[in-house]
Amino acid sequence: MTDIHMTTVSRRRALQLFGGGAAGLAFLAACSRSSKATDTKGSKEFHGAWPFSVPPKGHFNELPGMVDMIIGDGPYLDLLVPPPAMYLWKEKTYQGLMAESWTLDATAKTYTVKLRTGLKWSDGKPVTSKDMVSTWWCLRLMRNEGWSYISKVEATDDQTVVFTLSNPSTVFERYALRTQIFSDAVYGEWATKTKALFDGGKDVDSPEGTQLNTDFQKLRPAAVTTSGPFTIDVKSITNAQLTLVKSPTGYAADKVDFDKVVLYNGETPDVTPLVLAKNVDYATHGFPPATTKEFTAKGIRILKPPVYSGAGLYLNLGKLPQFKDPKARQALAYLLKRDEVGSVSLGDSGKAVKYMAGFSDLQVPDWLSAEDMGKLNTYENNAQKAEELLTSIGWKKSGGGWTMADGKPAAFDVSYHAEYADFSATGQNVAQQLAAFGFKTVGKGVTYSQMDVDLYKGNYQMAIQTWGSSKHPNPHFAFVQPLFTYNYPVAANQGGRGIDFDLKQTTSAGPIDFKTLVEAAGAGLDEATQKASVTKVALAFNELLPVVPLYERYGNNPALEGTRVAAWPADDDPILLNAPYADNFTIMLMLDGRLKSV
Amino acid sequence: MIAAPTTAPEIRPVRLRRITVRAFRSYPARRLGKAVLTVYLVATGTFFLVRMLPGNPVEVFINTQMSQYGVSYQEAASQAAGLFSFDPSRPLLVQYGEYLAGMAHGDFGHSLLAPGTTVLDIVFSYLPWTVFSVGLGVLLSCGLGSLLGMLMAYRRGGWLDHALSLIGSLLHSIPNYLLAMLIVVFLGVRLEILPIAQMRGAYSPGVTPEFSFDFISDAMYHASLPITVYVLTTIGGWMLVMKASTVETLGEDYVTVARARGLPDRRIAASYVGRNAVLPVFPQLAITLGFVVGGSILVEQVFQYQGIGFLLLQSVQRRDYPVLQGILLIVTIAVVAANLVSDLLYSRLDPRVRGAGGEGS
Repeated sequence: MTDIHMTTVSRRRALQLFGGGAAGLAFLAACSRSSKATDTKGSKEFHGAWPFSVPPKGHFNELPGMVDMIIGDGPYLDLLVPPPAMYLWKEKTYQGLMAESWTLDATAKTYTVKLRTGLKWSDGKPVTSKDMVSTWWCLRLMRNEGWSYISKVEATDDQTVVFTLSNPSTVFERYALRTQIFSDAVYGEWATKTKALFDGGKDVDSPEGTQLNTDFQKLRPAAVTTSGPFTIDVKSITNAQLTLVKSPTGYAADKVDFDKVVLYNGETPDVTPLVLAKNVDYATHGFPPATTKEFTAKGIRILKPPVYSGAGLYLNLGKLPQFKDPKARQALAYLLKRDEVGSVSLGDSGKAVKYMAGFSDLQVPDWLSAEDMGKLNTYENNAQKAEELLTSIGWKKSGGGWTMADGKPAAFDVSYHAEYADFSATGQNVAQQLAAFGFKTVGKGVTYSQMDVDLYKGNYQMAIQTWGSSKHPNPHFAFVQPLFTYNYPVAANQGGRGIDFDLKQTTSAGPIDFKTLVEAAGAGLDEATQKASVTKVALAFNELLPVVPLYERYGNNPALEGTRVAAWPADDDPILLNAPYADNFTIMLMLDGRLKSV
Repeated sequence: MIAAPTTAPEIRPVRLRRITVRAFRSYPARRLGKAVLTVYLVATGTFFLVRMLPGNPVEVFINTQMSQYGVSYQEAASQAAGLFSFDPSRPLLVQYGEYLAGMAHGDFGHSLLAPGTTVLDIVFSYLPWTVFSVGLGVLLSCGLGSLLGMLMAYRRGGWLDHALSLIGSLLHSIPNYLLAMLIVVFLGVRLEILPIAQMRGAYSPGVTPEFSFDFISDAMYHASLPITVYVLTTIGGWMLVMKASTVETLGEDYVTVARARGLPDRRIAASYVGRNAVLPVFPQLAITLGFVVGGSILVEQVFQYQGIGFLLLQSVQRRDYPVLQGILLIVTIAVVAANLVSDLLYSRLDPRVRGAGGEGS
């Protein structure tokens, strides 16, 4: 009796069925892509990927130091507002873009940049030295580090900008040449106010300076005034993607072989399916080895540019005083199979560190003589040697385990960023290798935001963290990372002592002050003097191992060939030695006209 | 008549007081009072909880700049000093006082990472998309689930009941983000049935949000995947609840009496069984609508859908306290309001609630 009796179909029921069916069809028909949607077919396109926020969070105040500027923190900004020059990491020279020439006058302590003539902004105005000067005044308002090297910036004619060096250093060249130039029409008013502030004897820490800074950060231009070959199609911006369209009057517009650049929004997990579906031609995201294998299986080429940094084992000497003796740290370097750690973490893109000098192996021959390189211990995997070193400082092996010189069992935690796939694999592998050697070691995943805090505060025993520098070619910046940033000089800002490694040490060559030498490595205008300091730090680093470098990271950049882009250069092309997050080779190839559409 | 002018002023305040007391003791007033108290408690809890997250916005900014973009500490710290007006060292109670004062005026503050942009501007550029996609998903799921649940109850023990129970339980056990990923990987990447690159986002590039069939159609196209996920992963719950409720209702005396009176089955199903069986579903629907944000976080991330869940995740990762607080508070208000409306409407649907609640007293 509970069944619904299906009787003959009445007229009312038939109408209900037809009505329901029509409503369903209308609903399905309603789900269709708009005819007004930007059609991307038929034009020469390049598809990339980069995370960005849509307005009102995302905005077009693209000056360095701002947050949530649309694509302003990635390599594609160079297509909108090219810098004066970009660096060729293999050749160690700058390639001029907006700049025609640049010179350092060591005697006068000035750095002069001469801009090309005939360049235009997207609003039709000419690009002049006034634009560059205004940019630099706004950078001063944003406390840009470049201003710690100069005291003055001025335009001596329409194309020439002269920086007066207050703290002369070859390092400044990168700030002068690699910082994009922005339109005076947009930023001139703020530059004038900032100059007036400083001319009045005040700075950005004064109440007036703070207020000016706060007001400046609220600046929201309606669009980016561009000088490069592309401009943002504002209407194309959605949470999923945006499109850069050709700006015919922009720099290198005649050379670039693409009409549009479509950028898909998202971090690694969001972009991965798009790469697999061959919607993306190139991406710089940190894809894990398993994903990279999938890309390769789909016929997508993987480019492996060096990143000039990698993962290292950080030891908190405050919590593990037993490792204050360099021999204990050297033992770790001998016992850890660095090639295995690199392979497990990043596949072919994790290459074992060879020279253990504190900066990239690729750069060591440029800064150290052959004789000094010969002094570097490469710490080839040797468990026997590790045992000898530990035994020599009072550690004992009994049964399968070790006891330290103070009689305590050798038991350690290896902390790592739980969310970073590569660091997780690194931490777990290091813990396994140490356990296999006889230390009671446990890998400990810590949420990334807490891990960073712990690294400063010293809330760890052993930890996996980055060493090296992927932004600046000068080794000074690579040394700063372990010795200053994650050590007491900077960690003190967050109430800790980091690795707690004393910067005044004694090596086999005699006493050394890391602080003085690391600062000297990046100071002055004489590269030979810098090399001497770099050599001393590198040799001391190699002997004392304040951190144990494990592997150097190479990019896992998928590059789809034959769909929209004809081809990238061969793997041995020098341009592929450019650091992808510093001077991206794809952008340079595009600006050169070397990257062709199909 | 003579005494009237002297006695009237004495009686009026008493009556007024009685009316006032009765109004304050009434069911709606008590529910409203509880709702306001809940919002206050959640606002306070939210304020302190977000500040207990590891790392404040300045630290997280510096660490992100260093780890993701390779800038030096000095440079990152210098940028942070120029960027943040937020001072983490200010006394917490002072910050709390300012927060409450702002909230009382409907001012949720400005984003720490997008200076000059109000929290409400940001939240309301994301919230409508979530309300649209999750709301539609929940309504569709509830409607379809209830119909299927009734059908299962009428056909209980049959193959249809078993098949739908199995499918419902299976779908209900799959986390929504996992189903979203499966759709992207299998239908988008492996089988290439869905144009996933086109379907990401809330609407197509080049389209301007407006009230037109073209735009609504486009928005529906982009929302179809999240909606499908919400429907598939929740419909099982509705089906099972409705089936159980219907089975219970079918055993009620008034249904037997209705049958004995010879009423048509369809009328019994709609007017006697359906109306009563749907009662337990109704408050659950209100609560589910209130929890739209929690369920959407990862799904919106997978489909790059411009929803509030997507914004919440970003705000947590970057410790944008005002935005984080704003979202949680607005969601809390939505949940509390949904519950309030549900309770008030339920008291209309089921007079026993009013009676038990003492409205009539």
